[in-house]
Amino acid sequence: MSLRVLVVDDEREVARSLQAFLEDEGMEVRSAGSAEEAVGLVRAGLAFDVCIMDMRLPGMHGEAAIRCLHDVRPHMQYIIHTGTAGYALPDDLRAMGIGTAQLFRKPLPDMSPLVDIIRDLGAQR
Amino acid sequence: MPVRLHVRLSDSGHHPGDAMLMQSDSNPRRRRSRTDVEGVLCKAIFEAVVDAIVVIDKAGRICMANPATEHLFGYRLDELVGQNVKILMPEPYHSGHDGYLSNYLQSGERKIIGIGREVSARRRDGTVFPIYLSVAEVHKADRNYFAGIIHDLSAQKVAENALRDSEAYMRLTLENAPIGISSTDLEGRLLDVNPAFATLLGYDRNELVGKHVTDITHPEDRGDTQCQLLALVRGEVFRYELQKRYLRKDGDVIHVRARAGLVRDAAGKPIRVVCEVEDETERLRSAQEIQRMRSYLKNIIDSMPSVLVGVDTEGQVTEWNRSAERSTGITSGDAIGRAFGELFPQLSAQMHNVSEAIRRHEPIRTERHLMKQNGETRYAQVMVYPLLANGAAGAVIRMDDITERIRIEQMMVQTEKMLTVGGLAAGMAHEISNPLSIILQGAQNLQRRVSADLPANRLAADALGLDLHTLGRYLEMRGVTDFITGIQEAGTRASRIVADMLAFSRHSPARLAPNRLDDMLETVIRLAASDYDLKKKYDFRQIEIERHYDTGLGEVPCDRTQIEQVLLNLVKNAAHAMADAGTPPPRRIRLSTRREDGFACIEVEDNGPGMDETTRKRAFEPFFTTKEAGVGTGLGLSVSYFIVTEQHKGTINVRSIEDGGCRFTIRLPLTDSETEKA
Repeated sequence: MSLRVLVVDDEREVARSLQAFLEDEGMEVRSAGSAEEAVGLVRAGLAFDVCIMDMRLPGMHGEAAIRCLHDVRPHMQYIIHTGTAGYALPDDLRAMGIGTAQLFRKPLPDMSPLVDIIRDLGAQR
Repeated sequence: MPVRLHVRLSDSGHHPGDAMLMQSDSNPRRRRSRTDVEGVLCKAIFEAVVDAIVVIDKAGRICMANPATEHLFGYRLDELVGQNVKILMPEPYHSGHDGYLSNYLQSGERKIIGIGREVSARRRDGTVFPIYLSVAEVHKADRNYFAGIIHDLSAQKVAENALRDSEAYMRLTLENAPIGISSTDLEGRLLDVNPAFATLLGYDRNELVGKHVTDITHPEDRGDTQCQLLALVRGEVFRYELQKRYLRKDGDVIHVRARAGLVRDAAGKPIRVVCEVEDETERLRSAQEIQRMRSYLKNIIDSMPSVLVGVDTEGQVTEWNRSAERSTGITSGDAIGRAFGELFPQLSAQMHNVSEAIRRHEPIRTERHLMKQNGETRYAQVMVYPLLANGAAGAVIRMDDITERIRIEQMMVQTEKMLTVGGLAAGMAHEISNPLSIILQGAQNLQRRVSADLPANRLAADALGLDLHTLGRYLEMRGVTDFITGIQEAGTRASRIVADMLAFSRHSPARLAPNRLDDMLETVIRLAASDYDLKKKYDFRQIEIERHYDTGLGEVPCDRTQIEQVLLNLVKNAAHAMADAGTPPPRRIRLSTRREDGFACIEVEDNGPGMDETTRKRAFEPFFTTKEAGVGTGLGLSVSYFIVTEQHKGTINVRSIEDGGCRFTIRLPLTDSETEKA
């Protein structure tokens, strides 16, 4: 069964190119343009192995979205993909097991490392 | 009546003179005539003597007087004869005389008769004058007479009084003299001292008499005193002068200047030593005070970090402090009296300000005086103060080397610029990262989706009857693949610029951990050797690496990644510069570490083309680059600067080396414990 990935980014083109790359890697990918949309999809019963989360989003912030999603699906894994300079993980997200290896700074000239991490996380699950 | 009296007296024959004559001529026959001769002689003597002779009877009446009497008392003889002799006497003799005479006649008690004494006499005009009176009693024809011989003492008294006055004057002088005067015997025992001397030593006058001078002399000065005294007494010196110390009665030490000379008797034999003593304690104290003040002022002037030079109106140096000595290597002794412009050629332009300041009576300041020193540009702040007090014409030139301050100011401006860039970058980063993501991710997808390797591509191509290999060749042929690569490279470079700019923002404080600088330099050399950019141009291994590591330096607190980034940047720059300038082999990079006053010091030096002044000044400025457009971000050195100064509180600077090449010096502060380990 292929890995199920949720990409959350308010920049449609960023989300789209990520989705394209991951789909080419054989993953099942869904995009959401906001945190609220992502939470809605999960609450509606969709299941994902890994979520790639942007931080600065309109409305709900990426961190809040992770906390929210974690409540609904405690086993879901996260990758943070942000353009914010010097982003540091808050302690509660670290406590969820999110490490610096799961932190990616935009822009990514090469998306292959992302694929490697998603596979690792999917294997841990 | 003189003649009558004369006759009577000449009959006496008892006069000592008579006896003498009688003895010398015993011929009785010639006696009468001899007596006549004697009488004439006596009369002549009586009339010629200077002293007055007055003869009285026992009632005190004047029987006769000689001509000298007239002269002495101002009476004519005829006025005197028959008068009581007391008219010649002032009180109390005047009233007492009758009493004396009758008392003598009754008791035989002599007051003056046959004795002689000094008494007073009175002239006719009432003036009283001193006389020496001797009275002889004369018996003649059963009658008693008294002959008074009166010697005028007026002249003698005047002389005596004069003598007495001068003695009193001398005494008074001694008593009141402000300087101490002592007289000692030839051994040095004090015979007398004046009050000033006694006061000086805190003794009573009579406590001092009998003491030896060494008793009141400071032990260290006793030898000198004795030697000088001996030389004086022996006649080896005419007088001596000695600066010495006395001990006061209360134990205090006083400084004096003593001048001593010999007193000789009429025969020229030394009898005493007279010494005048001047208290020098105050003078010495004020001299010491002046000296102390002078050295204190000198100390102040010398302690000033500023160069202070005093000049006269001609520009001749009058004062030269220690900073001036340090700055020029010319000692104060050599500088004073020489022309300022000659000693400080780089400040010779200031001589105009000296005359201006003196003329205008106000200081003139030059904020930034540019000067060359050992081929290096330095800045000085120069103040010229006119000397106004006490009519002293001249000026003081104060110079401070403010090169460091200006460098720091420039660095602060630099840092401010970088922080501005950093702040800007942080704000921009998010906005720019998304378009860059789209470009870069899009390009990567584009590249992958034209490839024949991906199964999904093949499926889609097959459905359309498209041969992917043909497509690949077409894209290659039309340069599309290169365009894609170009997009990728440009996007990558743009994202590197953003990342570099972000380094200026203060978001993450450096995490300092102890690291060995030599290890880090070795890592950097390895990284440089495998650097793709470098390899493209030439082989890094052709560069000679000289290592001068201070193995005793130990670990230095720093953020390893950041400092390695700085060092790699320096090494790469050096390699680039040498390659671009075509520096002939051997190309060399010299790496050294050492400890320097609480700092760990790293130097990266090359033998490349070096930097001109403008480049050197702007080297750390953001976006300043000497590389051709598109090669560097223009941020490498400014990021390095930021990491060292802002994140590590260290310093970084660059100097051109005389025989080409340049040297970067990084100083990282050591913590106290690291400093102690030195």
